[in-house]
Amino acid sequence: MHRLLLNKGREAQWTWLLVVLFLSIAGFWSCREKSKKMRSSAPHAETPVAEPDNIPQNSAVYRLTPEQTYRSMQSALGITLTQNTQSDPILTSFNVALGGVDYFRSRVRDSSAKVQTLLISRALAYRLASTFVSRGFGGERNQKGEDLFSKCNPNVDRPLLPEDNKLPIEQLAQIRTGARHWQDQIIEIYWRLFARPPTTEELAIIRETFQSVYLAENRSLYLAWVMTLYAILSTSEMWYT
Amino acid sequence: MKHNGASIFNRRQFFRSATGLSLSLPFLLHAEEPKRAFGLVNTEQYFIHFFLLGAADGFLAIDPVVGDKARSGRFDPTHTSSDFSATAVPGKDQLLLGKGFAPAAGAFSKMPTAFVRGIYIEVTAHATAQNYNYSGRSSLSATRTYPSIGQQMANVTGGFPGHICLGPNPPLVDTDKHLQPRALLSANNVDSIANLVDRPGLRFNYKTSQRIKDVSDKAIHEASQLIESLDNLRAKNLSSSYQGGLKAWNNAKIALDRLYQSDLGLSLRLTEDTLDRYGGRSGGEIAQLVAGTFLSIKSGICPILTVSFDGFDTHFNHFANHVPLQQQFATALSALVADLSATPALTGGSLADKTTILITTDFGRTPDLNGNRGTDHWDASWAVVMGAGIRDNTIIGGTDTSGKALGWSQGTLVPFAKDHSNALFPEHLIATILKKQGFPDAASLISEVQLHELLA
Repeated sequence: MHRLLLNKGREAQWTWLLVVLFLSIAGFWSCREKSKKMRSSAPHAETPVAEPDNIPQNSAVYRLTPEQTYRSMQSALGITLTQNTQSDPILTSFNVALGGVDYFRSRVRDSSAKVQTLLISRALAYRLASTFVSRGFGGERNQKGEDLFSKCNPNVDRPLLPEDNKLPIEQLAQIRTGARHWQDQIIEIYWRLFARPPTTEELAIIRETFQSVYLAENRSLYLAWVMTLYAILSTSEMWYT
Repeated sequence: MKHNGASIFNRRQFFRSATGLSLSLPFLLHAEEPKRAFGLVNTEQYFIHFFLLGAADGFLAIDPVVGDKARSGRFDPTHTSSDFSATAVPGKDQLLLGKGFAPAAGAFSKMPTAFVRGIYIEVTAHATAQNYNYSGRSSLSATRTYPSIGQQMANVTGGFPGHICLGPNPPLVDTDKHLQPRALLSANNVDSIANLVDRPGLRFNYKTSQRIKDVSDKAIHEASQLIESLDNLRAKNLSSSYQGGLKAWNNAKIALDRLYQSDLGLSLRLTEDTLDRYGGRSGGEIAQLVAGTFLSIKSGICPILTVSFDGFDTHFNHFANHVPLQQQFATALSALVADLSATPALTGGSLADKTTILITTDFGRTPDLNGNRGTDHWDASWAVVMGAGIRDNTIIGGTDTSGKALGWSQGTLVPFAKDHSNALFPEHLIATILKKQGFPDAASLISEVQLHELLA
């Protein structure tokens, strides 16, 4: 009897060992598939991978040059500031030689982020944001004939403010509709720039900043849009892929 | 393992120390970055390299045609006419000036000054000679360049901006290594630099000398907060390797914020009053660039500047075209030295006490005139070095009665050796300045021979 029980115990041990082994393999396989999916859905997933800064080799992170990013941003927003594709817009505008447009050589020449890179990126972001908003407020359209602000009327629509609750119901309903359009516009801009919608948290802080700037700048929707777009265009996500 | 009681590292201790050092070094370097955004770390010293592009005439600048030269008959008679007589630098018996540099007599009088004559340039082609004189390294290919002396310094000091270039860009990289110039900020003029370092949403009205804020400080602050929040939110969801990659970016952000907060853009704005001291609008681009040099040094934005002036390649009507250009530069230089002398330095004394100025050019110009009453290329170049630590009232090297470079051996002039073994070369000058400014390693890469007679 005692021996029988001992044998059963050994069988149970083997069973447990097999279960643990199976779970380990399944877990590893699942992570690998998930990682593959994440990589393929990332923006610019087709671009070659190189290591910038002090990132370990084979890490799936690298930085575009400002010239490349600047061109991509214009294309995504549907406006053209760089007419001549032969000249380097940054060199022409600021007389600062940055990374150039060649992925591989720029990785070697401009391998780490420098203040001048950031300085130029902020200047470019502001220039692009103010141009886009100015043209959008003027009702200009992109090359496909679509409105630059395709989801909202930038002259009217804005997020809801706490004080709006005191307004008559009809007026409040109008502002609420406008707030939805405003949000749709932010989501659309995110899709255009980052190939993803903003998260709930991101949307909340963007809304908060928009409201603050709107109030700080004498209820100027124009400046609120410029500063919000400038900030979105200045994020590390914009300048790193 | 013990060695006669001497305390040494065992392997484990060595490994620990090495790991600790390698981990802490990047942090130390990054921590230094914001401090260096203002260009001043340990010692307060400034370096200005003025380059007269196109080969400025040394005989009109610091090697006037007097004595045996005047009697040799090798020079165009205009050089020896009464209108072109040499000017003495007050209080400095060795230093004589030609008509072009005469307006700078006061400047040379105020600062310790040495003239370097008879620098031998074997190839008198502009591009190669310019690269050579900027960097101290010779290449027969116009496209093979080495970094200029200012950039060599900035590559060591780092920070941002570590080197500002005004006017045409000097060579900034070793073209063979394809490396990006480090810490560089360059522009055609100082206003472009000011536009860059001003935070977004600021403009400058030159008529009223007032700043215009298109966007309030609060709005800019809100936008900065939004950038930071969005970056932080994203960083949470990223792998540690990605976060590591953003480290350099985040460090640069700290330095950028310091740069924006320092409000340096305003102090870099060139007003009419300042420009007037440097020769005004009639002083042309030269006046603007030298005035911009002073503003850059005064603002503390960067301790190393390379300022290049185009237009000295006058092959036609030499005296009418060349002399005014040199005089414009000399007038502006005089104003610069006056302004530096009148501006207190952070660590006591004046900015003039902390500044070294190097003036160089491609090569020299022929003593006689060509068919167009212009001058052509000449293999004897020249330079001026001014500032603290320079042996005052000194002449290094020289030219003979026909304007050719003489040899220089152990501090004395000697006949020029056919094998060029005693020639005074640009690398001797550049290496001496690099070492004097505290870059001995960079100096030793250029030349082991240095001009000790140049230093006090």
